[in-house]
Amino acid sequence: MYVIKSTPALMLAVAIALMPGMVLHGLQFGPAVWLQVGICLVAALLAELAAAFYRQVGLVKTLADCSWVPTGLLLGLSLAPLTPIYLDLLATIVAINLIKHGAGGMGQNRINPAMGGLMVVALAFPTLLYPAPSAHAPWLAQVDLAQAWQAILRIGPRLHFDAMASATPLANHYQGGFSVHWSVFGYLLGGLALAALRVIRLEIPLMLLASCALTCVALGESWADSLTELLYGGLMLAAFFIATDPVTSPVTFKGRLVYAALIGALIGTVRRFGLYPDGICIAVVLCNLLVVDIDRRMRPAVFGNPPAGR
Amino acid sequence: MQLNAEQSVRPVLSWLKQRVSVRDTQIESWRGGVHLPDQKHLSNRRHIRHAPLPRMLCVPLGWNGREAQPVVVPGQRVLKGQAIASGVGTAVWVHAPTSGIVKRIMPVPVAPGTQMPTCIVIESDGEDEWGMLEPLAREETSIDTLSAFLMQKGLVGLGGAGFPTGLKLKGGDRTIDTLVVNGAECEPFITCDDRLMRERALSVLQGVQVLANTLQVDRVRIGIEDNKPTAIRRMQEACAQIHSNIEVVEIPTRYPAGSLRHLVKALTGRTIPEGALPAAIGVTALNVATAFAVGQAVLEGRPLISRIVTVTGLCERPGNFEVPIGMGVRQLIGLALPQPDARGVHVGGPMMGESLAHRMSVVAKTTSCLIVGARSLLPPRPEPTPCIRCSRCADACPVGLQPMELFRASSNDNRPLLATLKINSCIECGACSYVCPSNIPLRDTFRQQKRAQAKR
Repeated sequence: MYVIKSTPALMLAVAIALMPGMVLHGLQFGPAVWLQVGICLVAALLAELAAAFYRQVGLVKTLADCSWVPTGLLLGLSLAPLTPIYLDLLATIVAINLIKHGAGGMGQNRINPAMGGLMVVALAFPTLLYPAPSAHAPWLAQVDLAQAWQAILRIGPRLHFDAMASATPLANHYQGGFSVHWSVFGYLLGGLALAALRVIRLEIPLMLLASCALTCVALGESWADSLTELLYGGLMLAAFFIATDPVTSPVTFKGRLVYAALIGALIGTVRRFGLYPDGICIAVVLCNLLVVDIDRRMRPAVFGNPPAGR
Repeated sequence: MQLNAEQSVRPVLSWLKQRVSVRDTQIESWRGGVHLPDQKHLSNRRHIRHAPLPRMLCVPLGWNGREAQPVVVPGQRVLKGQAIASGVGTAVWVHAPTSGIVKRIMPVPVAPGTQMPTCIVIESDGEDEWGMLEPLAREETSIDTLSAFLMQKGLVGLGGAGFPTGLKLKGGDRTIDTLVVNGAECEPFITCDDRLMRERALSVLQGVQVLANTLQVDRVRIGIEDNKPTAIRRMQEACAQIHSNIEVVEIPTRYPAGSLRHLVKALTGRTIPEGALPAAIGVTALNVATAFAVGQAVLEGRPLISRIVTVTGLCERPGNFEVPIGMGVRQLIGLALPQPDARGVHVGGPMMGESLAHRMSVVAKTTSCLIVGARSLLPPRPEPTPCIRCSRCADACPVGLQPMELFRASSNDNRPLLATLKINSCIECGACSYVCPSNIPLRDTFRQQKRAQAKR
């Protein structure tokens, strides 16, 4: 009935499904992307080891749930490439040690770890981040690994491509205009594969994308602009891989529709009016916090009982 | 060849519907449920065999504190079908499964269960000599007469719960308009009802008709899961043969289709309110094997002294056996030639049943199935990991509960929340535990919680 039957396998399936998007993103914008992902994955592993140590829950047991793998990958993909390594570490510690283990371990956290970690870094240290890669200015593709390491470790001169202030890949539409991210197709492919394997619930990305586009139209953008919005890698990543995190999304079909619609609308609104480009992580975190209430209000009727109150 | 647009879109739509749908599968009648590998092929290919008469029989006098009073003393000779214990109150009468000498009256473990009810031990004399058989006089078919008669003939529900059939009939007065007969047999491995319907369809229908005439119902529906096409065909043929208006209804194979409230919903469209009996909505429901036994009792006067038991799993010759009540489980398993390396025995279906608690257990009226080699066929689940709220359990729950929330509330022993979440509506079918990717023993937790609450 379900192809993927255990929780660690579900986590690894998400990780594998991220691969096509990650590979395409790196092909378009250079190896710095992959370096970033690798650093975050290692950081996630270290954070998980630390948590196992100080929570005394048993190393194998903690690592074996594999939930740190998608967290690390998602952080690596949503933080801008060339982010200083101490910020990578900070984001990972916030995500894994504070948000996840602070709440009591896997399944207990109320907000998505990767988005929480990203939000802290993006809100607190915007000037230390390089702009997100854009198809208009594919400067990042020229950065080789040596330069990337220098930038990440902050040992060389700052690379002079940061005319624009902070922007993470989740916000890279900010420059306006049409720029196709190859990763869109990778995320779409991976996301649909996850839906086919029934790892994620397809209603969340569909509703999220629709709601985001409709919100943009409602706020005065043209249909063409609103729809091309959807072709930025960050939105697709959020729709298929971040908003669909089961731990932090509602448990009923109707609840998921409401939740996804809210995220989509918030992303659209923040993008239209917000000064700050990182709409997605704010939208996701806010809606994560609504999940408990959504679940409580949307409890289905129980067989043989009158419709549920409250 | 022209392909119309709808045809080409339909597979895409159904795929999408399945991905986006709330529940795994949906028929109009009820939501949720799971598809299980049914394993019925192991035991449904052979005819029902009569178990040879064992030398010793330990006949249980009742279950759950409902025990009959012995009316025989050790040393006394009894005939087959003779009453050996009289039902008092809600207990049914008990009869000797064969002729022989009463040896002792003592507690013996029965399968399923961990209780040791009082049993009458009879040493068979090998004659298998019938006592007097008294069928019910057909003129007097009032509900009260039939119900008292069935109590005297030892009739209990053979589907699993073992509720006295007489009491069940008495519960419904003249408002009953529908009789639902359960031939769903939705648990994997079990095939005793399947074989019974294939081989004794007419006798089953005779029993159904006795009940229908007495209850004076308008409609009789027999629900059978569509993974038993032969049984469905035989039952339909038998219906046609006797020109009855009994309807044989094919229902989709989806666990737990044979649960009382789900079968009633599927066959009548009516919902049994929580905490109510089917009689509240004008329905009486019983199992096909019970209906067969009713027919045997009413028409031929045979008390309930044997039942069909599936013996399956790692055996050379698995199948169904007509077993005298009180036969040792080990002896019965021996008839199916278990493989030498088979370890562990499971009683009942893999979903609702339990491991055999005691090696010396005997077959009771509620023993439906013995799965040999349970340790490898039904291995224990690995250590549970934390819940990730994937909500597969909520999709699988056939009564629309939210098992992940119930589990959290159970862990915190939050009784008000458990009541809000309707823990008492849980039918303990185990579909949630089956789909849980974190191997959380959801059903077992709810069962314990319900029992603990009932005790308070």
